[in-house]
Amino acid sequence: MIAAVIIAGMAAIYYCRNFVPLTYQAAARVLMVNEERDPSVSTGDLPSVATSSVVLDRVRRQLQLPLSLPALQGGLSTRIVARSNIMTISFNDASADRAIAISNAVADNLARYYHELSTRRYDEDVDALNAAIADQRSRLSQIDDSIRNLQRRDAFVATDNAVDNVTRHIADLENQRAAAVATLTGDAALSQANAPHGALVSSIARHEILQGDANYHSLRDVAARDAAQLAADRAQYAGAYPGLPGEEAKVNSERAMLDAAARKAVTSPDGFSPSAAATANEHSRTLALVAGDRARVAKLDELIAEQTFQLRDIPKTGIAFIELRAARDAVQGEILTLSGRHANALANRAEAASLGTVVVVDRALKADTQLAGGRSRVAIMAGVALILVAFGLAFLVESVDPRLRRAQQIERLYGHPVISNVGNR
Amino acid sequence: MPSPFTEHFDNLRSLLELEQAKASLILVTSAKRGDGTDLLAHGLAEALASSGQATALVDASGAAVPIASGDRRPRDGSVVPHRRGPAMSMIALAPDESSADVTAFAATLRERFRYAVIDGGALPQNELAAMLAGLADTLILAVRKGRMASREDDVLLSVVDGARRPVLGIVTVEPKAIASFTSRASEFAPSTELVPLRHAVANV
Repeated sequence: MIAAVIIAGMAAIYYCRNFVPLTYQAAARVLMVNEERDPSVSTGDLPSVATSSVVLDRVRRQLQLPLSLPALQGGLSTRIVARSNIMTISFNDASADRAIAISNAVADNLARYYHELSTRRYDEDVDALNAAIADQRSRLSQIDDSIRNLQRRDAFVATDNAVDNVTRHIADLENQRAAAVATLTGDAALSQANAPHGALVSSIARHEILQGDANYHSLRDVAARDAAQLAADRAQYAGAYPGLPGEEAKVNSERAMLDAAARKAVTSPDGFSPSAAATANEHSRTLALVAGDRARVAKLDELIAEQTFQLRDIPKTGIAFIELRAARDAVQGEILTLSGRHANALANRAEAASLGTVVVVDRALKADTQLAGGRSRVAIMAGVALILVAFGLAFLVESVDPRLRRAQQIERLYGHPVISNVGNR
Repeated sequence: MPSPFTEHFDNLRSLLELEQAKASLILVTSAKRGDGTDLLAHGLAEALASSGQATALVDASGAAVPIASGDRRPRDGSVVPHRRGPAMSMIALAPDESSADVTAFAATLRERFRYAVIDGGALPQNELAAMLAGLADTLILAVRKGRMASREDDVLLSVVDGARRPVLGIVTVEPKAIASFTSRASEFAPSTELVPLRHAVANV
């Protein structure tokens, strides 16, 4: 059996020498500075921090490693140099470059995370204070908006003698209204005076239009002549003239034509009466003046009503304004307080950061094989281990062998001493 | 021809004389057959006889007595002198169930011989040897080295304890010595045949 185990051991040695892959080990060293001043973390905590999932996860993300956290943790080893604040961070890997990169990345992230740990509580304070200050500033902005809206509605609300100012303003508006009403009255009278009288304007306009119409004049001349002829004929023939009915019919026809021409001329769009046009223009102007006056009066009425309303609302608006001002002052005071605390927190954080620091004192530049001698040492160790196992197994087999071989074994079984061994030359 | 292991037996004789000065009836027995009681009994008897003491070698194993054709075959348990080596009487017994005969035989041996070395063979399988164990002055237990421990070992110890006789000790026997003795047994002992105990008592 021993021989079999030794042969197996030799085979294992051969396998180790030729087939066991080499691993590389790279090491970086970090130093904890001012440990005695930092009560939160000590050098003894560094290995735990270095192998923490936070640090290793950052390393994995930084290097984009295809390794799980347990695998990363398994390849990592930390050792604190005796009686010093220096810790060695080693990583074993099949790739020398990766062993170097991971060792350095762990050291860097350890230093960074240690700094975070030292200042974490102050970071939390600073963040909370920043949030509180931002909240108060938002409140202040809202209050300012409210005040602006209030002032937009009531310009005098922010003044000390708002009632006097509003009253004076109303009085001024009422004076303006009185003047506007007077102007309106005048303009209305003028407008009424300039208003065209229907029959007169129509007569003048008809006359001026027909005067300018040549066709009407021609027809009127013909009709007048024929009418004169008819009158002469009547006077001459005293009704016995047979041509009278014809002339009368002609005169009637010409009169009808004249009336038709007059109507046509008057209703024609081209018919123009300067007098009627002037009268209409003047009347329109005075009407516009009156409308403007009325609009001004209406606007002044509106302003007066608004100011009157504000005057009645001044007590309520003023209270709201005062409340807003008080709230604004309170918020500003709160912001000042928070700013003071924020400054203190920043100072504390700076002090905490200066208490204890982990710095990388020696970066990994090269990677050695995991064991000096590499495969040979592994093979030798495996061989020695197997030989020891072989001897151990041999003793084990011997100890559990039920055959009676040794004197002590027989004495133990029989309870009597062995006094001789016959045949043992 | 003396035993090749004379030195061992001389030492054993010295020990016997030192420890058991008054012992005359010595039972050599074992737990299993083939443990070498015949070799041990023969060698011890030779060693005792060579010192000039009247010695008898009694084969009570009931199985392992070699019989060589053509030799003298004493009947009725007659005592024959040793063919070679020192003078001693040799008695071969057949199993007998009578405890009275065994007691008488032991008394006779005490009267006639200074030492009587009895080869009891494997005691758990030999009732005669079990009876002799209660009559012997001392017991020597033979164990063949290398054999498996077995239940017979417990039986042997139980009988020995029940006999309340002193045990001189254990003699381990190398298997090669047993094989050598068995192959040359005719050179060490005279040819005998098994005889009833009652005849042996009468003839001793």
